[in-house]
Amino acid sequence: MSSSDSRRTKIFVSYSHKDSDWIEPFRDHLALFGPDTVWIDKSSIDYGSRWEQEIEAGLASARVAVLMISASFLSSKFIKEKELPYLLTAAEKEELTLLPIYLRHCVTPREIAELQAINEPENPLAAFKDEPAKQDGVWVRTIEKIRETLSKLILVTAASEDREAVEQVLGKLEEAGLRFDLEIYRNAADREIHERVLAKLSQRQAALIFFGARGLGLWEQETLRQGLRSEFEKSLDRAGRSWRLLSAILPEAPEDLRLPAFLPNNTRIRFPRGLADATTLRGIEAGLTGEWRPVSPPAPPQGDGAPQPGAPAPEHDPVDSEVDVLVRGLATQNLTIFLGDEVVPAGESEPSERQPLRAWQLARKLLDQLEDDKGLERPPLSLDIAGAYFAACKSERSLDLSVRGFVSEDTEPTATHEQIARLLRTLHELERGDRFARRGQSPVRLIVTTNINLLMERALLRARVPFVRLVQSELGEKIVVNEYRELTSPAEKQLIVRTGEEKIPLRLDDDETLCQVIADFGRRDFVYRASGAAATEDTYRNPLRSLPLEEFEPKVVLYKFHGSEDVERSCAISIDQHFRLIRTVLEKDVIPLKVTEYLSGGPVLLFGFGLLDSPFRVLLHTLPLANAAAIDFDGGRYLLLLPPAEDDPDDFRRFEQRLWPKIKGQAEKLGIAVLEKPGDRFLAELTDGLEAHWGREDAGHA
Amino acid sequence: MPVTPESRYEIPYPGPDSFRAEDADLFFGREREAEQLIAMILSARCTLLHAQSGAGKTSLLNAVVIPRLEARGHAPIRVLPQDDPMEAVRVATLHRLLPPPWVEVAALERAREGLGLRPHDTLDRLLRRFDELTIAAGGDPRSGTTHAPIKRRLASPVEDLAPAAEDRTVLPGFGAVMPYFCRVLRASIELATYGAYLAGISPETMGGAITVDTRLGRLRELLESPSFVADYSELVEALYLPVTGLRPFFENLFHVFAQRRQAGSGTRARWRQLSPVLIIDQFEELFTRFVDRRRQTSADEAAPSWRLRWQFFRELESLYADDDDEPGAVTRRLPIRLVISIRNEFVAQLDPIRRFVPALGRSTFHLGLLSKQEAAAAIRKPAQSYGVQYSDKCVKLIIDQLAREERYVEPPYVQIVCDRLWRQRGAELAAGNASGEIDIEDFGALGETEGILDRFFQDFLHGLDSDDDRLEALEMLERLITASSTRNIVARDELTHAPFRRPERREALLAQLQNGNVVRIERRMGTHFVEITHEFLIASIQKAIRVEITRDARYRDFLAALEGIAKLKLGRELREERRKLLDQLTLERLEEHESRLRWGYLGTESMLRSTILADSGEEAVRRWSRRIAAGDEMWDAEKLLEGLPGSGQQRRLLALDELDAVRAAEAAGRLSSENLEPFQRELVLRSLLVMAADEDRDEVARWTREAVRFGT
Repeated sequence: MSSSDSRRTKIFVSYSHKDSDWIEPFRDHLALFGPDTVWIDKSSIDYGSRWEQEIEAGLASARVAVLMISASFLSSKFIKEKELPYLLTAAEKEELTLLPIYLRHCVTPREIAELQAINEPENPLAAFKDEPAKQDGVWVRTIEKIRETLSKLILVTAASEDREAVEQVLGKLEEAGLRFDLEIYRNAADREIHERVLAKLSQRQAALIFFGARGLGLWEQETLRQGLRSEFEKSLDRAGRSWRLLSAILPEAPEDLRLPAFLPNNTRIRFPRGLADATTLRGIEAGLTGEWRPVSPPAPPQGDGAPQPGAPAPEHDPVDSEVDVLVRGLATQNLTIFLGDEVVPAGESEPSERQPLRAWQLARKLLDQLEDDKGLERPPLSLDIAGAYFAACKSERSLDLSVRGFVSEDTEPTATHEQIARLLRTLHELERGDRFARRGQSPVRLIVTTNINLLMERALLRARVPFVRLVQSELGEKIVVNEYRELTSPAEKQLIVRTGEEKIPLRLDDDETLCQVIADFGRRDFVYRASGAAATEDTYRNPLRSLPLEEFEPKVVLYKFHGSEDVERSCAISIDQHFRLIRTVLEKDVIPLKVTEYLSGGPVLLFGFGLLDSPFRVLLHTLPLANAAAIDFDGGRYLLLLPPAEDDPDDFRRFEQRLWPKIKGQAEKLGIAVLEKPGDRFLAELTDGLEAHWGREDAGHA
Repeated sequence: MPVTPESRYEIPYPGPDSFRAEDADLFFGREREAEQLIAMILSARCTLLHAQSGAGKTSLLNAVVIPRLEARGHAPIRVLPQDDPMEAVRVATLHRLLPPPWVEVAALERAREGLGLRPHDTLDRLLRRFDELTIAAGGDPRSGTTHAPIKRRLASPVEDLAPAAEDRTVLPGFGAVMPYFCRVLRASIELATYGAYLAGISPETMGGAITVDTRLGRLRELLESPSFVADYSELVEALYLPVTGLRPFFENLFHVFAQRRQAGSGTRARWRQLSPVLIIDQFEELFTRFVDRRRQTSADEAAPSWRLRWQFFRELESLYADDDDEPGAVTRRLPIRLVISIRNEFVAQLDPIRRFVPALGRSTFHLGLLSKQEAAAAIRKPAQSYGVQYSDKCVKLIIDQLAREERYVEPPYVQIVCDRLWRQRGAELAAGNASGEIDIEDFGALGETEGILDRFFQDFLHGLDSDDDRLEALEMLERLITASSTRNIVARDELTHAPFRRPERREALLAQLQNGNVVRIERRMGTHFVEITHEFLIASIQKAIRVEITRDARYRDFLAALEGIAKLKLGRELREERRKLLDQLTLERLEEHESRLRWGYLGTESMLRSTILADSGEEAVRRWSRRIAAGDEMWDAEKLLEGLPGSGQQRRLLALDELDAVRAAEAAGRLSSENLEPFQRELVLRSLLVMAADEDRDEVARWTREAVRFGT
């Protein structure tokens, strides 16, 4: 016989005996669940104290209660005073589900009217008096509802002698909200149990099978094993349904217990640290629900230092903590710096003669050069639109020449450029000191810039940081590589650059020669469609994508994505050029794989971009920044940007200013955190942090 | 039988086997490919590596890609689909991330002993001494001994053998595991990372304990301490979640790792960011082995279910997909990279993957064969590492002979040729017993390429003790080839415990096959699996099968006879159609090989019945009944015969009737043990024993209990 456990697993049908005729057909429908599962017939019980006891037992084991609502039902004293209050309270506590069915028209109290019923009170069963098909429809809906409710239970089977251990385990799991349907068997050969368990296997969403001293017990039976196997196989095909099965092997189980081979090893629960172990129970919970629930870490001890409730949290600068994280990680991982042309802090003092041009200034200059439409009232134009207008008026060739001309005017690297160079120099020195790895590979620092000026190159050379430069040219189809390495500095402001046997001495304050050297040094060109080369290659290779950057052994790579002023026909300025570049990138895969590798291997810092700048958007959608989002690092992706000033001369900055919080939120949706801090100051703190941290480590080590 | 015989490290070429992690210093000729592949893997979330069989995918992954990914801070996890790809991913991941402590101890002790150090020496000393064993790459062959063999040995994986049952975790054994300590030796991780890793498992035991000054004995003590082992086991159990889905498994993994990282923050003992690269090698097995066979033959019963393949694709998708349910988060992507390594001819079948990785085409890497230049590097440089040179002429000749279309060279052939040349000449040059270089004469002496390759398998076959061994070895190899002439993998037990075959004999043969590099045995997930080392051997094996087995008519008859007896079902067929038993020729063939075969109840009863029905005479009948009696005391058929009336053939037939009657009653379900005579109960038990297929074991156990309970 089934167990008399206190779990709610049954169906309780509550009706007034005056309605017996009405529910007669329902009995046939209910037969599906087997007599042990349904509690319906009160007529078989003698009135009196035993009757009440039995009903109470029935109520206590109910998982679903079907209420046959009619005036007779509502007026029954026993129902009104005993059954209904009990059921409503239990339902309130979510211990069971109530399914009202309206048999006849009647005035329904509010607490019942509020329940989700099987049929409408306006269309009770009595309305279909001569339509048995419609009545059956109601019954079938009821059965389906009952099934659905019961299926949320988890079937548990166990031998009677293991009951205590099993109850202990289940008790803990019930605290986590799981509900069980426990089948305890005394005689494993009992066919009734077999049939019931077999039926429930497919009706429950999960099964937990206990194996104790009796070994396989119930599951020695071939029919049951077959049933289990077929349910399991169906569950693999998730097109069917998700059904989960765990086997729990109690410590009493014989050592040579051989579970059916199809049960995956990971779903076999052993209890290496006892039945109450939290790790094991958490595993069972995950296995039965198919969902994994994070455990919150243990709460920190509430000592004296704990903040009082209501007291303001201690001041904590988010930027500082990001710097801390970066300082720890940067020494051993890659770093990518994106650099745009808003490096001149917006709003700060009048642009001096030696400061690089901002995009809006370039746009203005281009338009001013168009002599034939001087005097025309011009709308505010971004550089890419202005570039397209200029190219339309003149030609792309003269756009190229003009922009390169403007940019090469005598300007100085900004504080951001210099701080980037200083950071890289510091990292370079830490590495030369072999501080981090016995012989491991050293990380790569990548600077991706959409600027076409030579300010970054100059800052790097001045800081004596060896680097490799890639210039994406001819709107994607060509990459020019220069390598600047073995930089030695015999005296202040002097630099010797070496290539092969040739040595070039330079004065660092002589910008003109510096720029010349930058342009010519160790140059190699890689072209998307090299003529003739493909014919001899045995396998197809895209020379840009497979650019063998590792041969240069670079530690710092400067990647100029929109071209460079010193390389002819390399600059992407106008909106057409931007789109053509994007198309080339997407169609021809012209971004070197190595660049994307470096990019995806560490934190990303973005400087000098306005959030609405088109170069920023182009970068975001062409370089697979989105992929990098899959991996989180020590540090993440940060855009260093101050909120624009209200009176910024750039119209686009003023747009941003107006919608600042929303635009910031957009960046965060792309996985980029906006830190409102001047880039150069952030970099200075980072470098100082690195020096302090690793200096201290050095001291500690010695 | 160790999976990696020591002798392996004395030869700088792996022969027909793949390169392994510890062979990284000997892997040459693929620099450019490796860097491109790594760049692609790190740039994309799912990468497809495909190549023709024998191009060296596994070698490239093992020897270059995996160590370099490790050095760059990622956690490459190589997974073979095995019999359950989901379980394989879980187990491989946990073994990769958390090698068992006893494996760490084994690696530590191996290194300590191998380097001649004592327990009170420090880790610093050990690492220095290991680093001093430089490989004399390109060095003068006469510069003295090189230390490459010992270096490789010390950095090789360790067989996962738990010291005692109670120390076992819930995780199934894995076979060869790469301990973190070996990664420290190979310098793919730093010592500080190792210390942080151990401290993360057990902060109480290991926190701050491991520095360069830690003594080796102390480290061992800590690794073996019960508190560390207990912490380790609990952590593994918390990660080895009993869910089928891979997504919850990895989410839990990331969560637990993040917590441990958090706990270690502020100290140097901080866990690294977890960046797994799941490399699923031999992906084609999902298409060759996890298939719907419709009519399963008995040998296929253990074959993996095709449902698992579909489920595995869904699980991979769940790993790759963004979890949009997460409120607030824009993308909840798991930081996992997938690499699928597959043979060319199966690339077209990857549509289920393309469905969720639409850009798979962009991150596809085709590994070609070796170019002539690359082949030259693969020939010369490993020998140079061991201080031996090849003559230019010899290298050129080898390549010219191996090259196809005057362009490509298949790596396994290079390895076999060089392996042979090394045994022929290189070994003595390396040992300093001779001077000179490996030259064209040595090559000629081996019959050049053709001779070497032809002889490779023939040598092995004829190195076996007898014709019978040869035939049986070929029979075993035949099972390792699929119907479409590709490699099959078979569980070791399945191969050795074939019907009627004596397992000890097959074990011995298997060991020989393994030592000869013809098959590889890998312990994966608690079971040993056998496969042929390389596809290119298949043609030679099939040729040998044709020549040896097919030509031998008697052996062929014997095999047919075996098949005949294996097919007999001791059910109704035997009772009702007695004529259909084995014929005289079959009986003769089987009797002839009687001593080579293992006779279970099934076979013996079949033989007994057949001899009775064929009226082969009292002697044969007695012999087979004795054999039954010898097999188990409870089955004394001779006694049974004597207890029956009549004489001769008539009596024997009666005995069969008696047996069959009881069995029929049992089958009809009319039997219950209470109302049976002990004699009958015993008969039921016997008949069950006779019929016992695996599935019936429980019935047998039940009746054994019954028989014992009522006393027989």
